[in-house]
Amino acid sequence: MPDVVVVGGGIIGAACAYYLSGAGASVRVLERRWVANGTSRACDGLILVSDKPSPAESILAQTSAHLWAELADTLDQDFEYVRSGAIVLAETAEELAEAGRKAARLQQSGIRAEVLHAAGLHALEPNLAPDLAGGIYYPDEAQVDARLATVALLQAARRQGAVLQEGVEVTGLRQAADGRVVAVTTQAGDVAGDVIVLAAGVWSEQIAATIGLALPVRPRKGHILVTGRVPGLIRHPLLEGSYSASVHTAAEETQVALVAEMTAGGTLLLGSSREFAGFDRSVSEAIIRAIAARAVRFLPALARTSVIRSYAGLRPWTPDHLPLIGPAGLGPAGGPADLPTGLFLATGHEGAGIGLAPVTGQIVADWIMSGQMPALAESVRPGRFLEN
Amino acid sequence: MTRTELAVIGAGPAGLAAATTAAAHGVQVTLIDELPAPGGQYLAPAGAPGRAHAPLSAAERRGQALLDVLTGSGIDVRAETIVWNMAADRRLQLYGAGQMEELVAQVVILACGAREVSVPFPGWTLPGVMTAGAAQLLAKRHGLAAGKRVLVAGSGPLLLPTAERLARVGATVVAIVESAPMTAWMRLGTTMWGHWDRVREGIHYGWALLRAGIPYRFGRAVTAARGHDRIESATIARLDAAGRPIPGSETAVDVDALCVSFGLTPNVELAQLAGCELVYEPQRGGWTPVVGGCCQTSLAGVLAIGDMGAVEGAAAGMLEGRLAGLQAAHLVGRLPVTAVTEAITKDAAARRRYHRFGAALNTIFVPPDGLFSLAADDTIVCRCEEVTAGEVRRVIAGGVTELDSLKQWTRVGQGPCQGRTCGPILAQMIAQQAGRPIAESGVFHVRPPAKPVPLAALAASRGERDVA
Amino acid sequence: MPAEAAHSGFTIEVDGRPVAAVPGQTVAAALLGAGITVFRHTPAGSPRALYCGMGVCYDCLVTIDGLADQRACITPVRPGMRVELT
Repeated sequence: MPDVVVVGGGIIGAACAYYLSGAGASVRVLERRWVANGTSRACDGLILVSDKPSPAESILAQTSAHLWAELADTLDQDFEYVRSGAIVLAETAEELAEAGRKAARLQQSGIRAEVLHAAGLHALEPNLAPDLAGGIYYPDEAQVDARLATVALLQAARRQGAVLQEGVEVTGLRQAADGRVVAVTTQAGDVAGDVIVLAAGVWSEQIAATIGLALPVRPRKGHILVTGRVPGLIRHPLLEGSYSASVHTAAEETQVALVAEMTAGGTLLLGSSREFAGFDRSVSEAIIRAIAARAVRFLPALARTSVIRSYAGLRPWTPDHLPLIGPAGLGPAGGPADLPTGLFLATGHEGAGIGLAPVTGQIVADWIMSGQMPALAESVRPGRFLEN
Repeated sequence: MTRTELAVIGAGPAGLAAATTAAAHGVQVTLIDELPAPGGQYLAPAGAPGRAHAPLSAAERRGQALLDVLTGSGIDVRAETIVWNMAADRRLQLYGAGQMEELVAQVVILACGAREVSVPFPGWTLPGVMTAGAAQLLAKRHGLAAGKRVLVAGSGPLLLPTAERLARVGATVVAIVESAPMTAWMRLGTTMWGHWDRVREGIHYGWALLRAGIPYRFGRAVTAARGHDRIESATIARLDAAGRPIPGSETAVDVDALCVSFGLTPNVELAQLAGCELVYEPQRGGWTPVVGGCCQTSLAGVLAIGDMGAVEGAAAGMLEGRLAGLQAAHLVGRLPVTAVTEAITKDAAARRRYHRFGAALNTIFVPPDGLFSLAADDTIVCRCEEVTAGEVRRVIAGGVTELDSLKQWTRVGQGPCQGRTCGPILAQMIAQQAGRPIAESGVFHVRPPAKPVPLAALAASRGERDVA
Repeated sequence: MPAEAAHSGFTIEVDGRPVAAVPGQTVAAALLGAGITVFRHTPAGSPRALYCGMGVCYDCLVTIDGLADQRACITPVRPGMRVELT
């Protein structure tokens, strides 16, 4: 049974640890601060399939969504999993028509969707602004508490024999003479493994760089506002129509698109923003004003509440918006050669880390334990970037 | 966006001294406070219904004189205004009178004061259980008694004026219950030298309490409060040397209000948001900004004064405020640096005396460790999110030893107060249970807004230059 | 109520009922002065009122003129104010 070192105690590292230890691997998770302290602490926790236009993203998202439903039953710890459904809002008739066309395409791959006109929309969500043209209801979307979910996966992994070490910062990778990655370097010395799984989110790039491996992962900053308690204000997570476009654009300009989600405590999480701002995590007043403005436009009843805190997080972005999951040293059809083996990547999940965590963990576990690439992993092979 | 030369945040005695001093030297000053009128916690504003009731101490008289100077001073006073964010470059985000405003200051003086430290016990969230400061405010400002039969408990000198004021507005003060032993006052010893005002105050209160027949009991603490919708009785127990209640020593008293004080800790949230370096110093009241010679924090152009820098009382705050006002005047070019250095030299001895006395009070009258065993597993320790001591103890037992980490395993610190009430409590629980120094548990990572602001006001304040 | 307050006093509305108020009072003082000792209930149903009295603990939250979660202890009373307790 292989000794696997997982770098990163966020949602991806947690999922990898869970599925790997479940498959019999001996797993050690190294987390530089404490679990879910990176991007996983700044997420809205939505598990969406409706916002993924490409077939590759869509099939990964659908598979992962089913896995989340299973985990909600099998994991011991509650993480507030709710099959909440979600509604994509349309302000104008044109927007609604376009959204309807998208929904029809998604329905072809088995995703349930219902077009709502104004009356139907307000029957589902009475507090929405009265002038909206309608929306698309996706009943199978879900949400979790991202932090609790990370913790639940890690606790389950530990019960399966995985070891978690917090406060250990991985500073780089170490290669043997033949180029194989055999260990990670930390302030307390090397930690060796048969396989190193790099699940360090936006920090994966600098770790890989220590052996000259250039990962195309860039931090893409987002903001969330937390409101006071407004129980019952909305019944489903809401996304404005431009959300999916804001996710998938590679434009450098800052994107703001409303996402509203109720927490178990009755507060609302309001997002979203996207910008390339390096590793800066300070809260931008201009952006939280913009998110507040979108929120009040769609939910005028929010005028009764306050923002009690806001925070920013860094999503690990890749140029084709698909994550990097797989060995660093495998090309197409088992090819070359000069990329380091012994290193698995599990990173680059821009805005979909929570949603795609289970399928990522499963792909990593299957691939490492069997030595074979799972079919689902074709689109996310790291080789598609690394061999060029 | 508007500009000012000096922004003073907090209009208590220290902030008033800083603002009026700077203004007297021609500095353009904006004085900001979230209360409806300047004065802070210490000074009742003019016209306050309860002001007639309270005789003024020397420090209060000096403070009131500063308040009187405000009108006509040219200072732009922004009452009922929250500063909800501050950046290192001294950009302030204000919310007041329904409007958002960005104010850029050349110099910022933080005079945010301090707040009460709490020790949780069963029933402490019941209506009628409040801090001693809350009871004082009700009495001083509104002539209101916190209850008809009131118990005053905790530790430290604040218990005395609280009891006296309660009696003055008609409450029956059943007792003062001080957790420290009687010898605690003697330990103050020579640090009291020079603080004749405080000694006189102490004698005044002691005499008033004697005349009113209010018992002053040492080495005891309230271990529980009971009642349905409000407190109806409190249990008092004697404490052993470690501060733990001695079983069998409990007595119950019927009360309808319980006023508790265990000292003060600085309000450092804005300093934290701006990026000032903080340090844990029990002598100064807990986590405070690192400050240099003239109240200078680790951020250029940002000064911290008064109880926010070190809990030393109003007189010390006014002294520092004056120095900071001079420093601000120098920083904007109205005074040569010699004016500041001379003042610092002249006041150095007094500041040392205030520091020694404050340090003594802050280290002698602290809740003994044993009191943190009062919380039962089902006692709430995070009031906002209703997280219990049991939940926190389980998580600490699992190896969590930093506040920010606790915030991820439970909901502590995620409510509107962002951990202001529960932070010091949790730090003690971690320190005792995990056997580590308090400083190692860190501070809660406060996020903007420092205090909640209306969503609609944020939305309405979008400018054309704003992004997206 | 002191004599001079009788001239400047007014009423505020608390859950639809009039409560006496005086300029310079906080909402909390007006509520306590009227014998209202419970300001709200938490999601778990616990009664809460005034705790710190200085606007840092966020226990004394009431709805004022339609804006939820306002601190009664530092909000001044104004004629015509509508307070709702939850």
